[in-house]
Amino acid sequence: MLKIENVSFAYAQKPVLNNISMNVGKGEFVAILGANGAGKSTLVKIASGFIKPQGDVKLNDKSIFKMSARELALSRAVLEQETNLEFNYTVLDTVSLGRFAMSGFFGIDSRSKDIAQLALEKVGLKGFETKQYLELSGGERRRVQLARVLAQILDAPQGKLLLLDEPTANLDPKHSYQVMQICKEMCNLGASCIAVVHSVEHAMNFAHKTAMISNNTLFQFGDTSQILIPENISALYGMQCEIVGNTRKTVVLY
Amino acid sequence: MKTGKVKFWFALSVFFLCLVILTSLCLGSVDISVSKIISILLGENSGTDGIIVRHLRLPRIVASIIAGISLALAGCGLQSIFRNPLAEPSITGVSSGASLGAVVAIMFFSSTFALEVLAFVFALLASLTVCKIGSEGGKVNPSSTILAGVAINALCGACVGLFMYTTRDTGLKSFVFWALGSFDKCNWQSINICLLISLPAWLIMLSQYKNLNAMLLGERQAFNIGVNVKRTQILVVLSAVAMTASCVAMCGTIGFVGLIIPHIARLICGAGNGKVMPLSMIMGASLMVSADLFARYLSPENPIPIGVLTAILGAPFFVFILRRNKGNA
Repeated sequence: MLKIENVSFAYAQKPVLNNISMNVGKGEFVAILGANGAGKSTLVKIASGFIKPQGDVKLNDKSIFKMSARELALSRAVLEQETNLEFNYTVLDTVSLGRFAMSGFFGIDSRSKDIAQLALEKVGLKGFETKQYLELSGGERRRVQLARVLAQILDAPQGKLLLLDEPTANLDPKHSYQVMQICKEMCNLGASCIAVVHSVEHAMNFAHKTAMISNNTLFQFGDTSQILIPENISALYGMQCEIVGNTRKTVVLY
Repeated sequence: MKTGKVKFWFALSVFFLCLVILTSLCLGSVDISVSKIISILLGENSGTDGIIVRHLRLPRIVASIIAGISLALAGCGLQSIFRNPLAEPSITGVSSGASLGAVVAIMFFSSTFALEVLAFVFALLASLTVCKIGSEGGKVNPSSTILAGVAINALCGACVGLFMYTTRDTGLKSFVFWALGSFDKCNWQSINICLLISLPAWLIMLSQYKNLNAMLLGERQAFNIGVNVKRTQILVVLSAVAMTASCVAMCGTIGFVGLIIPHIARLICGAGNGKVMPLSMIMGASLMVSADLFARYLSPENPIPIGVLTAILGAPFFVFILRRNKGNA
């Protein structure tokens, strides 16, 4: 589904990513872990097609850098680390922007509005439709943005890609858990998901595969159960690590 | 605001525009009745009154409408593309460039036509310079463009100051009167030329309304949902520059319209440009026709420059937006 091939990138001579390669299959949930500044967000920007690296990224065997913005939008949806709206949309209008690529000149149709409504329900914001976006809390805004991203692929998730950069930022534990559940559900429906997370436990309990980025390279990549072991986690974060629990694991870093 | 109320405000705005146009046709140094106005517009000759309506009042009303639409629509587009509630057409250097062109025309030529042509050309050159400086990799960088606009505005302003310092008093007075904005010298020829440039620019800007809605999320997010960001930026900025430059060339620099009107429209119908743009066009036209009527009716012998009136209205509103934005931050 998604192939990242020998990708390297530097910001103004400062290397950020060096020769990264990984494949994400259909229905797979991949968690990306790494310290601050490791290049995780840069990898998401490259995988979204916004910045062009050395190397290539292929979505369903076609280079994303040869696709138009609209073609890409019909194949993948991206949640950025931050979204700042300067003007006040209603919540439903903000979410409906996710249906932009599917809309005609006169705006989105009633079906797209229904999908936007469904996306809002999925993130637990039913009833927020007419509220003003700028009057929401940080966590509520984050969930609205996630609903916008979900609205892009919710009607036909199979074969689509979800790229999420810190989807649980600003969210309380309950809503963080819900967001990870939603990602897993979308994968069960045939979408693939790549999510940058800071919670090792989220990666452990939800992701099929985990990628660890350290020193500009892909330090580890593979099945979560094999990658997320104390030795690797310690090496990644430079901290001591213990994993406790059986069915639901807890990672203790100190 | 609910859909019903938005429709009400649209209808009210259109009604107000029609009312103010009719009032502007009727009132002036010579008051003409509504029935006479209608018969003149339907083709009746009507002597002096006909001349007043057809050659004095109608041109300035049409020029006001065109200016109001251009400035308001340009303001809408630029505020969305730069994601800056304080953006207005003059940030691209168009007003200061036009002023420089006008001063050159006043110093070296003696025709209104030369003034309009040079004001337009210099406005375009200044704006394109700003856009070039503010671009990175073919894309418009909002912060760089605004800073480039500040620099070019300062440079053009300095050149204008130098020319004014060296010119004769009559030239100075002509320039000052032009710079403050006026529809006095607008004739059908200048209106036709302005419309020739503005009409395609309006249509291009309106066609980008959906993309501008998406651009409010930011460049990356707009790209992620399917917008061709580079093309949208080029089309919006160039069309804003063209409509503003042609308007400034026709009637001088009129500030704050492009800043105020889009915000009033957003207060009524939210941030979506599908409604903000058409409502801004109607309100912009209404404001300019009203301001022109007010300016010439208050002082028929020496009409108050329009730019003075819009600045008196606009400055307090500017402060209001600043304080409101601080609250939202």
